[in-house]
Amino acid sequence: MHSDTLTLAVGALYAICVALIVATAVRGSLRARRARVHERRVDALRGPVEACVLEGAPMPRVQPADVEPLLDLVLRYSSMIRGRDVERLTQCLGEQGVVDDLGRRLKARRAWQRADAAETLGRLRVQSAVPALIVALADPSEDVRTVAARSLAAIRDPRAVPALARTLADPSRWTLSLVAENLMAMGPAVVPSLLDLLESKEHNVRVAAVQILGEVRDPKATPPLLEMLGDENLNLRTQVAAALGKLGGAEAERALLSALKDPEWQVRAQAAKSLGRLGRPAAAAPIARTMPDDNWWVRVNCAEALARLGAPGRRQLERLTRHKDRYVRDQAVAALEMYGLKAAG
Amino acid sequence: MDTLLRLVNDFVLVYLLAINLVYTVLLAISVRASGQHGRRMGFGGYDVILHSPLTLPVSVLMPAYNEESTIVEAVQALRLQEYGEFEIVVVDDGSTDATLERLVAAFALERVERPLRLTLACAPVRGVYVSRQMTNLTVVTKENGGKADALNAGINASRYPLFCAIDADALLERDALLRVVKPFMERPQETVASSGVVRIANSCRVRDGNVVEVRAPRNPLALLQVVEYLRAFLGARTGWSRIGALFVISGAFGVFKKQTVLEVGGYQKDTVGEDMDLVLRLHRHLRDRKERYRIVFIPDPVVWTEAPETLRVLHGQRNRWHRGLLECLWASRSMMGRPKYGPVGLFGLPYNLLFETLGPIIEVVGYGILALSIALGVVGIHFVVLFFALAVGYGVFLSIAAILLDQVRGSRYHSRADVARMLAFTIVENFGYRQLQAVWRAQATVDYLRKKQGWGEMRRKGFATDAVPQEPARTSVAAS
Repeated sequence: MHSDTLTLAVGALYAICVALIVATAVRGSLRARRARVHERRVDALRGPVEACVLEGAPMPRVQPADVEPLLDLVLRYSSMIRGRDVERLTQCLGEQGVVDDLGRRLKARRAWQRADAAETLGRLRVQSAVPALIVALADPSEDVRTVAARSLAAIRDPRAVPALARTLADPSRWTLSLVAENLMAMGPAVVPSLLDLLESKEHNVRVAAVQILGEVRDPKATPPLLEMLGDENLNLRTQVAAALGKLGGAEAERALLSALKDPEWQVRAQAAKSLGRLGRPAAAAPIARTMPDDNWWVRVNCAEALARLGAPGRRQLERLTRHKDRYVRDQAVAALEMYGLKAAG
Repeated sequence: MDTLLRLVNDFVLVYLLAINLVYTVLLAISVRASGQHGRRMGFGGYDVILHSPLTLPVSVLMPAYNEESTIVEAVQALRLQEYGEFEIVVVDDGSTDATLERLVAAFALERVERPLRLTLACAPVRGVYVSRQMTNLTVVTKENGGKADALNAGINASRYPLFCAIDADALLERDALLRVVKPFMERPQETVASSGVVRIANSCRVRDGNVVEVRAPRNPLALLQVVEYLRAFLGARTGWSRIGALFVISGAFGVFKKQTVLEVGGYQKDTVGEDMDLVLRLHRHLRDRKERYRIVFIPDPVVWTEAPETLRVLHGQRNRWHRGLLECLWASRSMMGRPKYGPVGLFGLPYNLLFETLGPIIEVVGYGILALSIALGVVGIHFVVLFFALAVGYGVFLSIAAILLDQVRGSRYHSRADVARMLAFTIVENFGYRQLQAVWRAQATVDYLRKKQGWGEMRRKGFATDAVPQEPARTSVAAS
């Protein structure tokens, strides 16, 4: 049977190999050529665009073929300029039809094109695109959602805050980081929206809101967080203890001291860590009392917290090196050693 | 006799076509997946992961046994990783050379009485050292117990929720950690393990633990391995990962969620394939619990490693790898073909049994039968030539496709001469190297079977149990 079929198959295989190599080589050189042409156009546009960015000259009218290089060039500048300059630049691009075009691409069929458009709108900080980007937050593609969230956050338009806050329900920690970072940068303006989220029914959302409130460090957040230390959810209580360690203040400290007696070890460990972070020497004695705990992490965090509390903490650690429990002794010695307190004291 | 030989020949031919069909399908999936990945990468976000306070911190575990010549440079290289919060835990596995002394001298290490939490059993720890210069460096020195044992000790000493296991002679690219952690950021609940590409550093120029100039190896044996690695990583693992059947994460570079690894009891000590073994046990554990999870391979974080340049060393390595594979397959035989174990049970393991394990044996037997058939005049020389041309052609096609895929998706090799040499070697490897591999693997199978008979079943402690480690029995090692 085989001979003829085999010959054919073998021939085809080798032909495919050669074709693949040729195709890759051609693709490579085409790309290189396209890149060179693009760079040449960018170079040609550089002078006028710089004049527009730096000196406020009007943006030159460009040929349709030059729109991509223009956008590329503007994007390179967009990370460097702020405020009114950005608005003027987007306005100039708007006159060229670039913004409308991006708006259309936000509805493209391919997900990566939509994501690309969302990304560019964000980098150009196009205020007028905010409503469309809010719509894109519900895009079926995860990439588009993420990019839209990031772009909205980058534009820092207060209109977007509630919508962004809702994206915190997204299970992706990446989105969370992106959104959180920008919400943090937006500062106290986001606090009311976040406080609303603390009432959310979704566990993830509440945890995320607590985390961001911790990072934003607005004292307005302290009272509602204090209440949540009594929540029945373990993870939430732990996050609240972490956030309180960042917010600080007398009330937060009192609450954390009582959290050292929480029935769950995760909360106790986090409370000790937060107290160490706040660095108030008065916390030394209660932390030392908590340290002979059954849980490893509670012991470690208590010892490390004590090491950060200055002379009173050190005295407590030295006392603990004579504790009857060997594990407590070991941990106290380790903490003293780690922080070089032995030599100093 | 004639008919029998003819039947065997036909069988080998069909087998050859089947194996290559599988490889082609995997390749096609890989091409598609890496294209999607490339586009997604364009949207970046790595800067956010780098700076965000919400990024998960990572413990980098580096087991070292007699690595005095490279260990200091390896640690130096790691400290330059672009990543937010991470620590480096070097585990000196009872080295008999100056590994520990070199570290002590280079980083001004001081011995501390830090108690280790023994969540996983490991050989006795002799001491824990920390550095005042590099606050995120810990060195644990212990009695020799093998790589798996050292990794378990490293897990005990680590503080963070993710750990990254790397070889002491592996060089991570600056942003490798950042890239490999991204899946954990995208889906923190589901992602259990992720890994990147291993590339071969022979002939590359390395400065301060960084590959600064990439060159294809001058040594032909190493160059053959470059082609082999490209095929395995870019052409196959991307595909396995996409269909959710990734059955191995290279011991040279992989990030794991510590909690899940603790749940399965850490690394298994009595196997030479501890990396594959761990991944298979993770699959089993998570499937048994019916959890949603991901174990992924991503084609852009890169780790560079030195490949053997002599046949003797290479033989040793491949023999070990193949025995490791067989041990893992035996250990996970109850997952084989079971829909309950998802794509790994249905595709990954059967593939390893049918092609990776039986392949070399069938290949060796096939060569014998073919020779016999020619001698007896059962088949014409024309058929033999065609047959061989087909086998070679398919091999060449798969290798070329992998090299080109690498080129298209951002290769590290930029010199045309290097690429041309690699392409030429796709043909060379079919004459000698490939057959040698088959013989070595067939040999390894025999070695494995012999040893198993000798040692009996007792070597296999069943790890089917889902023992979740209890909250610490208050164990500690007062290192003395």
